[in-house]
Amino acid sequence: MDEVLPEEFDVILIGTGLPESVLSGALSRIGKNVLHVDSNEYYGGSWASFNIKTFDKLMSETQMHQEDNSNPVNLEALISEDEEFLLMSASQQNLSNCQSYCYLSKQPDWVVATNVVEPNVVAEPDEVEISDDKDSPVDVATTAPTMVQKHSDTEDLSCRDVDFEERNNSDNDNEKPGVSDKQSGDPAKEKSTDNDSRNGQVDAFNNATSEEKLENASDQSSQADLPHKETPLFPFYEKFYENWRRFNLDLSPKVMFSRGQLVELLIQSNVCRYLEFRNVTRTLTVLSGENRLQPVPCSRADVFKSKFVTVVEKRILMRFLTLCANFEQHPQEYEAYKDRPFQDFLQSKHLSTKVQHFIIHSIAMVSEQTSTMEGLHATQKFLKSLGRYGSSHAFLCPMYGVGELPQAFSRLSAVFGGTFCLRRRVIGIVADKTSRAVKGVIDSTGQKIKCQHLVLDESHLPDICRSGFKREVSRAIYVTDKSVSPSETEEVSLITLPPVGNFPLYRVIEAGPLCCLSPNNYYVVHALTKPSCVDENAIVDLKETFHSAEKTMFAGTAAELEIANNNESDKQKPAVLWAAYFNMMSCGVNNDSLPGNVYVMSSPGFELGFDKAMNEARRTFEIICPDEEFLPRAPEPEEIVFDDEGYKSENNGNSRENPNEQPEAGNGDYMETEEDLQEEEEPDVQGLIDQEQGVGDHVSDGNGDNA
Amino acid sequence: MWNYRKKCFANSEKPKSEIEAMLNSELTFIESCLRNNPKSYGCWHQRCFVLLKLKTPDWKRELQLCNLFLQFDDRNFHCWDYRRFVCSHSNHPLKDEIDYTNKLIESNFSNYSSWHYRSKLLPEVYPDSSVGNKIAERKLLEELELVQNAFFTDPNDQSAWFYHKWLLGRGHPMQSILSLHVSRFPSTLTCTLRKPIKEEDCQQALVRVNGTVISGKWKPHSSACYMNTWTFTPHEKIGTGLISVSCQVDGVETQITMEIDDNEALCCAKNTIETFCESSSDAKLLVLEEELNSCRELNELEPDNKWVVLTLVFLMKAIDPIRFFSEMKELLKSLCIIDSKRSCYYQDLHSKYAVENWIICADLQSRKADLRNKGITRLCHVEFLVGLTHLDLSHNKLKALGSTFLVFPWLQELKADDNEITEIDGLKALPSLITLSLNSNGTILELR
Repeated sequence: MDEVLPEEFDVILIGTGLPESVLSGALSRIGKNVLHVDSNEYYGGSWASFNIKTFDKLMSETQMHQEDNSNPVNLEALISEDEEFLLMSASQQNLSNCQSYCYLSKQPDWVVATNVVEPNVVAEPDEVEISDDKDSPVDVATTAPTMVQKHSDTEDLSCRDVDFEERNNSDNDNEKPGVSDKQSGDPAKEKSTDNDSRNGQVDAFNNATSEEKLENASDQSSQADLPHKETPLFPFYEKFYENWRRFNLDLSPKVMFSRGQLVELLIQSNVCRYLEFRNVTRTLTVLSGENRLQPVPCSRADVFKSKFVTVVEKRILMRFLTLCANFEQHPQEYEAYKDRPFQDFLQSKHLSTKVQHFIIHSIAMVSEQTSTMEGLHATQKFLKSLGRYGSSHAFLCPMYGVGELPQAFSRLSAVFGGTFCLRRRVIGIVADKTSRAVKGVIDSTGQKIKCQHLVLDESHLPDICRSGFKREVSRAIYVTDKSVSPSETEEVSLITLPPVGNFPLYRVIEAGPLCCLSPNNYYVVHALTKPSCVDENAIVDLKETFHSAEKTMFAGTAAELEIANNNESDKQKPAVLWAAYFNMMSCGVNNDSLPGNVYVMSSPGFELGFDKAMNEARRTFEIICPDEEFLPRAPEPEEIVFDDEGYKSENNGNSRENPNEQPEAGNGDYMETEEDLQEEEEPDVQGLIDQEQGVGDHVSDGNGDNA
Repeated sequence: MWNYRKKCFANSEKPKSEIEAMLNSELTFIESCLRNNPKSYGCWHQRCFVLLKLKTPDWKRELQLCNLFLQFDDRNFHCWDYRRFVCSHSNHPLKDEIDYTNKLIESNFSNYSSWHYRSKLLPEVYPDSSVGNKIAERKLLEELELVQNAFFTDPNDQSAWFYHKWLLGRGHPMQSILSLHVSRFPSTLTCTLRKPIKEEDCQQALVRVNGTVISGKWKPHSSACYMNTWTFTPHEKIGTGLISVSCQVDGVETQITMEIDDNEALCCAKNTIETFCESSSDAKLLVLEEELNSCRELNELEPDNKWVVLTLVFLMKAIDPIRFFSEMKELLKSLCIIDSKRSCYYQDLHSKYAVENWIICADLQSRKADLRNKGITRLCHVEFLVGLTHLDLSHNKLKALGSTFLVFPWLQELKADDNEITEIDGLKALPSLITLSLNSNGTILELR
């Protein structure tokens, strides 16, 4: 990636998060000369999605300082006298307190049937912790999975297609005996893998400090007596990581309002042809005083179906929702409550406590104290989105994770000639001393690149332009063995857990194989909350932060449940097999110190949808190109005449695209419904091929990487 | 075009296996046609034709095809029809079909087709053991709850209300003889049945005098094909003395005894509330009462929703038409205002309930009917009134004495003062009429 870039661009964008990528696509689309760089080796920045191994690695690495092994740059030679140099922040850290845990036991001896090791280690439920707080000398989680990776890499290439076919037939390949056959086909390699991981495990055990682990240790002896447990409750560690590539874990999980700006933009710009979507199929919440997730009746069909509200409540709820849908036309209804809390207004409409809860937390998604006007607008926004795709669904989520979105817009940018460069760090900004306008940037190879406008994501701000640095969102990701509320068909759920006692409000998104976020039989649960702690320096125990949410949704961790094997109590709830916790950081922008032609894109934040990011991108675009159209429809590949290298290559890449995925302009039929997928195998296969490329993109040259 | 194709198949002399293959390719072809126009009568009929021709039709696949088409348009009645055709020819369990309608109703209950299909399936899957009811009570109560959810969710949606009306409605009334009249001079026997029957059925009827079957000729009361009232003229005159006459017709039988001195005798069946309503167990009554209360609540929330008010009326009628009569009257009156376009319907409904209630309480054997001041716009259930000699319909809102009045062979005195009658066509066929009073009415237009 050290090749020399052109000397000058219209716009340089640093960071490949969603707003930057949208902007990049929009600028390229109208013919601007765009350079888009990212110091990471993947697209998406804080918006990226990762497979589970990369995620483990990310969790363990992010606290370490990124080593700058590039040659020192001779700044004096590059900067003239009338220019000033603003140094970029060296540590572009937007994650903190990162930890990830796997609660699964290693595959015991009798399964692979090789050499004898001490049995007590074999049956021990393994809890691998990757955290810098613990000063562990050996990075356990990265050694063990890497071995698996080496082992499976070659195999993966050869059997990839087979795997996909298996999946199309909706086979449960986790249970396929074929996989273990393949393993035993290479005993020598396996032995070494086994040994290594086991050594790693011993280390992990030695390093264990927490009480929980000591408990495990005391339990060990009893387990050691039963080395041949007939049916283990949970898959083994190795089994779990076998499908590591099938996980797509978001840093910033979000869902799209079906009538939100992002959806409109995807249709309008035709970027949707790079993507596939799923409906969020249900909304769940927990009523105060209860410990059980309940479906929230949102649509007419939901209200009709719901068994949790009485018929009279149904009527009142429906009346209220009908009013909200076009409340502007009935000002007399809410005039008196304009400046009063939303809850008072709901009260005045004789809504029961339960229904008020549904509206405030799950439909409007506001708080009790939100003003009536704001609440009405939020409810209306929800209702407008309802039913656009599927009669009772208001949200869409992108398949393969939110990380696909910035990639799709980057791809558009690349198609229209944008230059992309990953793993290229910009060390500083060059500004004119008198006009304070940015003239260009200097990257880590010492190249000076000129530009008229500079777009940065928040984490790339020069230090002097920052004001404060705070935790913005606390996150937890869980991989579970079943849905938090199992049902006949696989669901994609949006869950709101309202604040209880000292615990904050959590927003939770659960999705699984349907959205290609996890392999079959696993579910990914994303939880978000606003950090309660005001003191930025205090060390927060994130496990503690999410304790209440975990108690509501899960039976416990796999390790805990394995010990309490015979406990029948919470069989309904899923077990946590893997979990990660981290904080997303955000910094304020000191606008005074920022040159005029520099635009800062904010971090994903706590917002559930994408409207904020889209507004930001649109506004910035309008400043840079005041009279141009924002993301007009991009032509289909077959509409393009073969006269340009860039187009031609793109066209080849797209030739496999299924015509069924093409949108019909405006009506949003682009979305693939579940049924379509079941009927036609083509799109699914295509989707997976796309995904395959997508995964490759994280590490190698991107599909849209022209540099 | 389709018929031409049908002929080709029917007259083809090719070997059977070849025809089979052709039929199969025809199915594929029809499917592609349907994809273009899923509401083509011709295509669906052709498909039925082909499937009946096939030796081993794949009914499962056809059901899946229906599922597919209904998924795109859940109100495509062509496809619903076809679905019924498929189900009737295959051994597909009807219970599964109910589950299927469940699914569709859950996703969108504004769907007449699926409610209707349900109303066809339920009586077959859950038949009622006792007579006269449509479906087993347990299921009925479940259905009532389901549909209640629907109309509370959206009271402006008609489909749910219609289904509800169907649920409250009764099954077909059992056949019964409402009245039997015998006269010596002229020698006739007149039988009025609850349900009209055809002439062929009537000719099967057996008339016995003192136990001996006698022959004669049955004549309908008017020229219609199906009639309630039939008159029997025996070949030999009915003798004098104390006689017992029995009449067995359409599976029901009744008996009448004539005293020595009487020239004629009339026997009317006893009527109760159950004559016009389905009988209700205590459990059902409880559910209906509950529903009545929640509907009252709904009415408070939605004061101007005609469906709510109308359903209140239906519920009251189902619970106790006599106790609730005045309230029903008021509700129907308010309906005439809320839904003025249908005011005549509501008035007729009121008339019907008024007459029913009178019939339940009246002594028909006296052959005199006092229906003054009932506010009726229409005289219904005349089959119950056939035997009348005196009928007073004064101070009502009748507009016409039309053909319904053709049924009173013995009516001597008819009073209809203070009505809005402009048409009296029905009067020309009242053979026994002596006194007619039509004071304070509209201008009589014509007497044809």
